[in-house]
Amino acid sequence: MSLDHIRNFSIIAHIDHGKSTLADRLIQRAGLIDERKFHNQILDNMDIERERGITIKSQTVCLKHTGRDGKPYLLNLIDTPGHVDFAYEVSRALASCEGVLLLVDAAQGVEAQTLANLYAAMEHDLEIIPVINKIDLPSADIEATREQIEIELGLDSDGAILCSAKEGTGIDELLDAIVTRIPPPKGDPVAPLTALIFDAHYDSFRGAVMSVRVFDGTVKPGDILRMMSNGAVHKVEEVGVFLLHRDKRNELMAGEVGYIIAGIKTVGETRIGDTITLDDRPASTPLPGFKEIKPVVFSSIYPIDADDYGSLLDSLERYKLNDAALIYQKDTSAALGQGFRCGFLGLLHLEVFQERLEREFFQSIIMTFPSVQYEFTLKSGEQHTIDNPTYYPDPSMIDEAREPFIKATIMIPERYMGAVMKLCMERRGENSRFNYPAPGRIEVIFDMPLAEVVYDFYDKLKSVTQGYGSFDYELIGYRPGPLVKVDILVNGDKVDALSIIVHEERARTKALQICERLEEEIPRHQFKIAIQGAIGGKIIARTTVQPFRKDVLAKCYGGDITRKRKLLEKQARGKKKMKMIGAVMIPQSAFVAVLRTDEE
Amino acid sequence: MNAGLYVHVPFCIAKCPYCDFTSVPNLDLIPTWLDAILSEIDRAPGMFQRIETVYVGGGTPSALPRSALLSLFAHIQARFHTSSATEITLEANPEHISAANLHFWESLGINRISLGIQALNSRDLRFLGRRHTPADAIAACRLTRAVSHMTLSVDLMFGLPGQSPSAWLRTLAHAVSLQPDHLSCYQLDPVPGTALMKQIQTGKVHEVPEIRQKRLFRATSRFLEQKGYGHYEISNFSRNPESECRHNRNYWNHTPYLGVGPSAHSFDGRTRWWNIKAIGMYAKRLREGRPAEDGRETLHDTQLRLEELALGLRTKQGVAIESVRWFDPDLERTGKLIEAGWVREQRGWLRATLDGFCLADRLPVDIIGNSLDDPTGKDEVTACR
Repeated sequence: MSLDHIRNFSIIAHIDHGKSTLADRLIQRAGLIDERKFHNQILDNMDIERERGITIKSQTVCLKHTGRDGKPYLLNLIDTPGHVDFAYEVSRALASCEGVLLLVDAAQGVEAQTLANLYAAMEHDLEIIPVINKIDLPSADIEATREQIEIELGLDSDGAILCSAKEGTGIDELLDAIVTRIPPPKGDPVAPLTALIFDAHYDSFRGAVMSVRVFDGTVKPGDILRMMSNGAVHKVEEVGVFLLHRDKRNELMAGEVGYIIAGIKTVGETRIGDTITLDDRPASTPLPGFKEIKPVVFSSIYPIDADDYGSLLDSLERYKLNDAALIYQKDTSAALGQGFRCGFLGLLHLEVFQERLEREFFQSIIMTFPSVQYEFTLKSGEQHTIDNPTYYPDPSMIDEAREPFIKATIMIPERYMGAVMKLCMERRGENSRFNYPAPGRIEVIFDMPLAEVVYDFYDKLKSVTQGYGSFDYELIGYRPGPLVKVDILVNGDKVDALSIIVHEERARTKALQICERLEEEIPRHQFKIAIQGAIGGKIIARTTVQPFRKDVLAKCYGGDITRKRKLLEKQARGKKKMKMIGAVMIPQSAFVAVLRTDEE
Repeated sequence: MNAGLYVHVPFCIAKCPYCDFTSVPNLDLIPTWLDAILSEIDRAPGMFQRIETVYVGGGTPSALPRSALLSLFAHIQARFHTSSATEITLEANPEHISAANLHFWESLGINRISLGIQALNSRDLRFLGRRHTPADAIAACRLTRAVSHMTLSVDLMFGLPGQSPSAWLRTLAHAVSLQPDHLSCYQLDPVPGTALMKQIQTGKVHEVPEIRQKRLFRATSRFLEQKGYGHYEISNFSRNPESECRHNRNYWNHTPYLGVGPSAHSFDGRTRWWNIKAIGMYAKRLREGRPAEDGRETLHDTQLRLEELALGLRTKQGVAIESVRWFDPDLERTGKLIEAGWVREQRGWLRATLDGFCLADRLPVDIIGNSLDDPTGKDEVTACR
């Protein structure tokens, strides 16, 4: 059977450039959902995705389309996550396509992620169709955007499609372009099976549902699969394609995109980027590009109420079913009791995790300061890799400490150059390089410690560039540096959950920042509370929570007793959510405040 | 039922920098306010028939023209049952005290005067933005004593920036020498939105450190107790039980009260409601024959008990132990407070010690512990359209 009627494509764009809206519009045009049921951003079906306007889990959908030539086509739209944390997932999705729609916002122009995505698409040798979106906006500047596409992206802007996904204009032209410009997939349906897993999600009845692109061969129910990364075998129960729901088929063939269900219990047992072959007739080599996903950001979580530990564990297990990238193991804090050390792909991943845990699993948790993975060479020659400040080695034993560095690519209008330079220098950026891809625009490249970026760098960048700055990063390896452990002491008691590993240069600033946050959040007690930041025995920062205000201050005058009572009720409720550290009650809000981004 | 009546007079000659009460320095609005408050009095709910106390506060009620006071009291007498035993208090500023005014006020039935002297040296008075001199204050006390039979209470403030403990004690001693029946000593309490708070925020004024505030408070209590004034509530001292302010005491023991005037609060034993603050809007509602209520809440049992606890621990009388047990059945948490020396249990009542008074707003929270767990969501506040 010919593969000429199939097109596999993806949409890539900078965050907010309208990817999900365009996807929705294509789905609607393909008649998969009728106008009345249509609600915005069908593919972003998690609340958090819709609220933040980003796609976290990619989804795939098969669109039926009749071309200008009157022939029926199957257009497989492979949606990709739109955030730097998920670069690997994006690369696997792209590997499953023959072409991409490169979406550029007509009002915003080309951004750092647009470029990063373009490079990724070029690596896979994909046909690239530039699409200028949001042409309905009053601030849209189509000509300038065309120019950017020519100069910054090096693409032929004559081929750019103009559209407004919101208004639905230009969609027909776009569908035509997909059919005529993106090549059909190639592949040999009778060769040994090679199918790429580019995503997996969890179904409570069927277990892991793997999204795959079949490159060669054919797969059907009853086949015995073999995962090429680890040799695990599973029996295929069902194959099919994604409409908006799963649509069962007899087989999936070379060139097709669809799903495989094979009695695999959790998505943790599937690996994105892995190659599936058949056990009785295996392919000789896997598809290229498989990587073990490794978390880069770590944080510990503790239930606010120790009694909830069991239920938190249960929630983590359920959460993990659908998030292969999350890793966790038991962890114990002297201050906060039993909890879990969790690893994430990046800060967004961490935030999404935290929000979903609270919203969908109703867990109230305390989360510790995110940490990266540090390497230590001890004087004995021993090597240690540490992602938890608790295990920071005895300083006198350390020969060399190393931390992960990234190459940060930031694209900004020229006028923000000063502010961005300052921000990057403050975050210990080094080895800066600049490119001038277009008049008025600068691409700033810095080598930066990952630890300085994982936390609030992206928010800060957004703020100093008034939202015009865009950011992308890749890990470039470990570099040595003087890394110290800062402990936080409340009333003389070390709160282990607040310890951080930090570059010596930044230790005082960070310690003071944490102490100040705690000072604001810890309520007054009957005694004065010292909050100290210390490296070993040396105090480097200090704040104080003064003892109770004499509450005679709050005079009770006149008949407005309601106000007074409400205050008491509020205080009494607030007290419930506190952790005792020594003799001091620390509210959950204090742990949260430590993580909060600076407002200034 | 012997209820209280509170009349709010929202006018001052000038606004003091520390004050966050509802008051405006615009006496032109007096006729508008008067019409409104008279109609509010006329339509007072029937349950407030008999009243045991009347308190005319503000603002500066003594700044009202005699004609206004006259109509006000005429309406009060007409609408409510009062007797010679009714405690009727007027708040007054020293600059308004004259023999003629004192006679006039007494003729209206006023038998208690609360004199806002606040301080007795020029520097403090200037800081507080008061319009009288120390001499005015002293003369006002002496004149009140000389020409009237009214119970005299004086208001003082402590914890002013730069005020040393000895300067405060001199002020206190001076005030005591004027032989008031009652003293209210309030700590300067910077409230958000006031001119004073702005001065503090911009660093022009420095707050007195808390440790010194506490010393001043304890010194006040010791000094006045020694001079024969009973410390019967955190801020209040009385020469004998008869001269304690019955009106205020009733607020603290949940006796019903009716408040009339902008921002005034009322309470019927279960429900509390409050008036609109803005004078214009308040008057408009009453002109249109509608209530001036801005919101209300009905207290459920736990909330009533919580108020009893919080208010009781601010008084010498204390709180009945059954109200404590409502939150702390086996007195486990309370026991710790007793151990710490902040409260004492005596014959079925729990009372705060002087050290406990210093933590008066904290003690109830400690006693409550986690016992508010059963959600008190019934605590609705409904705004009047």
